[in-house]
Amino acid sequence: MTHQPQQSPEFPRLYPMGDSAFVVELGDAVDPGINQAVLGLELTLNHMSIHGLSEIVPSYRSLMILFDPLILPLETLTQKIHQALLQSPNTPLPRARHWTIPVCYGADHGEDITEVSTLLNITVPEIIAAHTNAEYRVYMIGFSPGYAYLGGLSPRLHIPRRQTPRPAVKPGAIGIAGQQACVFTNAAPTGWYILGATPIPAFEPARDPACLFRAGDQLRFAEISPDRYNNLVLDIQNGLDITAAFAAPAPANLGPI
Amino acid sequence: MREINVLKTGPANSIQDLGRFGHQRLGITQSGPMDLVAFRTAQILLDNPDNAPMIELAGMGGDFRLGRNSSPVQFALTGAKFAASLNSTAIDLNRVYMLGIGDVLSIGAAQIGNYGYLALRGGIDIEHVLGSSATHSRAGLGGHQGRTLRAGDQLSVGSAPKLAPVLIPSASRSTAGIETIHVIQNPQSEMFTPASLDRFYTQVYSVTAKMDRMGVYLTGHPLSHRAGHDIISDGNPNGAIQIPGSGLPIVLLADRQPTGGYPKIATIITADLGRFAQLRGGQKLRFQPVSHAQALEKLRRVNTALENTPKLLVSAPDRKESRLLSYNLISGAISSGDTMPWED
Repeated sequence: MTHQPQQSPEFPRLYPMGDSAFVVELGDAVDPGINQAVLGLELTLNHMSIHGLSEIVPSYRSLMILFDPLILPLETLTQKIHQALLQSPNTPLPRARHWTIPVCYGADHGEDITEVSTLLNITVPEIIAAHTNAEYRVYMIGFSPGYAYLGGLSPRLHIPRRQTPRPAVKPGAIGIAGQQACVFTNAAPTGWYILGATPIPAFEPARDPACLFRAGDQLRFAEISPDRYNNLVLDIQNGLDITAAFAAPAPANLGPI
Repeated sequence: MREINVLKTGPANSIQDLGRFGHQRLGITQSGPMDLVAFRTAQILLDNPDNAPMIELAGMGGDFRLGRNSSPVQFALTGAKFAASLNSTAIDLNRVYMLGIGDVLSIGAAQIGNYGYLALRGGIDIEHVLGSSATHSRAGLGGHQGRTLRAGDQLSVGSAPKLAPVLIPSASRSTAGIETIHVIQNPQSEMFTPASLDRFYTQVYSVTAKMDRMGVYLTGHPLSHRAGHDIISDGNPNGAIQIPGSGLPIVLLADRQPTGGYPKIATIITADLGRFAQLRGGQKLRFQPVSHAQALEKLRRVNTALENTPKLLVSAPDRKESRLLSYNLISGAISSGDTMPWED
């Protein structure tokens, strides 16, 4: 996969957002190529170690660059970004990891699955098949700690958000809404529909790295039984190496460019 | 050993340092003080390191006393004006006091502003989570057990030599009239009709009661989006003013979500963030656009004022010593009306 952005005269679009943030938009679509270009630019800017640049927040199709304007003048930052934009197509990205995330569907773990079945007029086994047969891309992490925005949901499962949020879900809840899928990391009320739960904690502040997923990762879901779910909870409590157990390097065609 | 006990506390008081930086790409909020100027003023008064953790008081204070075997601890209150007393005698903002054995520091409701800072000499000694001790209660990160303070909490205080008592002569803050908050317009403002954009800068907004460390809801005439109010989720800087479907602004602050999907019409300049966060429900404001250069000029002015603060510090009268002096002057006749707390 290349991270050359789609050619468009409008992009890249550079603009300040307040006095201490600067935005670089590389497109206006949820698209793996644009997202890959975002990650390439982020890495290139990080390699440049720009004095006064404090933090970069990459998202689907843009980067927000936080900086200290009294140390790093806007003009200098803009120049550096133009320089980075030229270099970034040649910056190798780390090999994407490929996760297989175990999910226990329905019943206590996915209380909305029958509602989704009724709303979309498909059977529960069809929902599980559609959800597990897709390959997802982690486009970005945001909203709350370690929360992964996933693209790649089967069109059969596209469903509008709830009108009013459902009560708080537990960490590990597996949700769908619109064209997106996600893994919840925090208990929070949500407009998403919950199909199941994974025993894998995607965010643990004391773990290094605290967040399991990173943007650019590929992900699949695999169905497990309630017993397997309970056993995995115990295994994880007893120190199971999650990365070793559930992540593998992606096939070569998903690796660095 | 230095320890402070929380006897009573408002529901949203939390430990904050400068904030948690470098993790927003993982969805981890920056946090840190809502009023950075007041926070920094407290560190200067107590000659603490810039990042020393302190207690941010949100609207309602609390009662504090030393731990059982603790040595005395110096403290100062900055930011919002709270009704505060040390052993029932009123105390001032921006002044170093000593919390001695048996003393009770009692802080009531905020009278002007929202956020006060109770800083202790030596700072609160608390472990870092992801590089910071700032509390982000929604995610259960940092601070005391990842949450806001509760009665019964016991906080360790870092050791530091005793400081000569000082104060900053107080400047009164007016709450009357319409506050002007300066912003830099964002290109996402193109998503609004020209009439709405014009209205954004001309109308007077009111702060609503719906506010917390995450954001503040404003009320006024709703703005209209040209077509829809969804953008592809992107980064939210501190002070971003997002306009959801209601057409009414939500200003995103220290505990904001790092990314979001509503258009951001403008961003409050860094120099005005603390002043905005101190506006209370019902207070009126107007947004005024400035250039990047003007925003930096204002930021420099704020920083220069903070850098000059040490020059403003004056010795606080040592009430204990002046009391002894007056005893001598009146040859041992002790006034029973003297209820000054022991402080230095």
